[in-house]
Amino acid sequence: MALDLYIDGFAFCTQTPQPQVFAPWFEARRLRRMEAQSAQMLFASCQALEMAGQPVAQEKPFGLSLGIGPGSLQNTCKFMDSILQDGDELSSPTAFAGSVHNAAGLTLSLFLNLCGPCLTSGQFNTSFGAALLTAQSFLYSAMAPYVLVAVADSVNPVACALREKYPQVLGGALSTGYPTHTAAALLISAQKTPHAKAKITDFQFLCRQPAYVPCLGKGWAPLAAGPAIELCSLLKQGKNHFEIKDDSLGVCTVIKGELLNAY
Amino acid sequence: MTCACIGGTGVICACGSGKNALWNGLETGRSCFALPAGRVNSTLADKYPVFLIPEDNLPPGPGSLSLRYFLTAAKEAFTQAGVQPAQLAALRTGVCVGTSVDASFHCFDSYARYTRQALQEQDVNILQAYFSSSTALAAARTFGFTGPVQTVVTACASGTDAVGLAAAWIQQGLCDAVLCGGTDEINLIPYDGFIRLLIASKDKCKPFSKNRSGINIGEGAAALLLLSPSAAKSLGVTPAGFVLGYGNACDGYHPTAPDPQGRGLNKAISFALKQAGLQGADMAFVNAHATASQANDAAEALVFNQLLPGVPVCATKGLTGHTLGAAGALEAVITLMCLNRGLVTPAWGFEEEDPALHLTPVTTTRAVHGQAAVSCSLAFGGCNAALVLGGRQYGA
Repeated sequence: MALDLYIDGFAFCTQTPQPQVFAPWFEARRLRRMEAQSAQMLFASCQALEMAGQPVAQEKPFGLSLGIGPGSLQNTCKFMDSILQDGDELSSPTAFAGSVHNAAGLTLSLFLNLCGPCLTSGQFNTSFGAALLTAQSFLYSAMAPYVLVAVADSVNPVACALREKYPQVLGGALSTGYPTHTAAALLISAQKTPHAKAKITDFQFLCRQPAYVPCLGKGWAPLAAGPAIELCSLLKQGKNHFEIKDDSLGVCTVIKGELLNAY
Repeated sequence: MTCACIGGTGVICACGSGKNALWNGLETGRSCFALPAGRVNSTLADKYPVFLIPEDNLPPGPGSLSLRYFLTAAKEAFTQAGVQPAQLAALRTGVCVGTSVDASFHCFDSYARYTRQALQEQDVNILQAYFSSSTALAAARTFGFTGPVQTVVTACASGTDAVGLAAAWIQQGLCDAVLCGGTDEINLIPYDGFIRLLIASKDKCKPFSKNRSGINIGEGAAALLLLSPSAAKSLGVTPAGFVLGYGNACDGYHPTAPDPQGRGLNKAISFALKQAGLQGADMAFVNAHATASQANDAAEALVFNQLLPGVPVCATKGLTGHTLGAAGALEAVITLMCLNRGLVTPAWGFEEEDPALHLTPVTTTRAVHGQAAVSCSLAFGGCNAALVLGGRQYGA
């Protein structure tokens, strides 16, 4: 590893949060137009920042590294719906703007008062590894003292419909036990602070040729947040050592580490 | 500080395939600006031409158009560097590609069938291709590279970010080589989307002009082969240039408009200069994002006047169109070509100075002095990114 990485705060979210859960941080009306994916990321991020002792309301020069499999499917589908239902002339510009992958980056930077670098990665199951790699680069380059890594998933409606119709081809994907609409967030630093909860001792994110098998088995579903949720779960369990290994899409993600503080 | 050597570059865009075609276009203004008939089945009454890759230049083969564009550009980069992919596969070689359209769920026909409850077996294949076609992963598989892979999706800043991240991987010692760049194709979704956002122009775009009336979308790809100094030496590659600095900062301002004060862009350029150990006055020129939207050009002009006063400004989207996720990489390659020729080319489309901007871009091909330049991008979501690039004579 090019430098040490510490996890100061972490959280995950497996259900769409209701507006009232944001009460400690925001007025509910600020959230009324927010799509589910961004709301989930925001909720997980608020909790991760709070755990790290970082006030949400204060402007922070922190970086933001997002991992989103297919982008905002809710808005992408809404835009396509508007073309199909109302015609091209009345298609929704708002939905189009919201369909951009890093629209969630704007939401998080606005609500969390983050003013450092911001980058979004989108490669389905391997998005978390890519987002963590970006965080490492931002920290190494001293672009930011902390980087918030946030990942989220949406469920593709076409995939779900096909799964019903072609269970022999698509059956395994959504029945692996992973939650579907999910998000996770971790606040990462290269410096050990009193808030550090864990240290990442090994991180690898490498393409493994020719391990990729182009089939619609476990590897096809948009599970960007899966490994991040697994990591957060292990941290929450309080085990002294943790290890995540994911080989989705022929990309090997390995994260090993140790717990530093009880919480 | 040298971040990474640029071993070779490649491009494909509306000017044609390859850097010679691109340079010819930059000097003469020749490009393919046409209605996307046959490619985009939009029922919009008003027609908006775009900067298209001509049909006879479309690369054949499997995969999305975006992927094929990128692979075409990558092969030119390998050729310029004089290396074979197999040589790179034996090293720690990563792939970092920016895109916007290629990573989005734009399977419109399948989605339409889904809404009619008429999904067909062919949709399984379409969906499979989508879920397994992360641009960077597909490129890594094609060339047998086994380093880190990343598909950057920061909208119109994706290409700049991908080159910057790739340089950071070299700098950190994660990789000996990185194939990086950006790629995007035109389809119905961005075509309708930008028109419905009322930021597209029916005329050729007019960057920094008083009468600028919006953007023209475009398509294409650019690839850069970055090498560590030791890898360049061991492969016998003479660097075509250098990535000297990379900066990135968000605005946190608006979904589709830049911060009018350009605070994020200011930070991004300042950081890139700092990382390069250079000052604004050291820059031979700045290659602007210059989409020709009112808000973008105003924010950029403000920042350039603050950070880079007197530095010549070039703008190329009047020739290439706004190639979205490819734009930053394409403009990085153009920046390098200009540095290595000691020339900057005109801002095609510029007509009349906007007194509110206090900025006139370069209007004729002219000589520039210096071996370093800035290339920057702004994106939906408030992302800003900047590169400081050095020409092949940098530091000599």
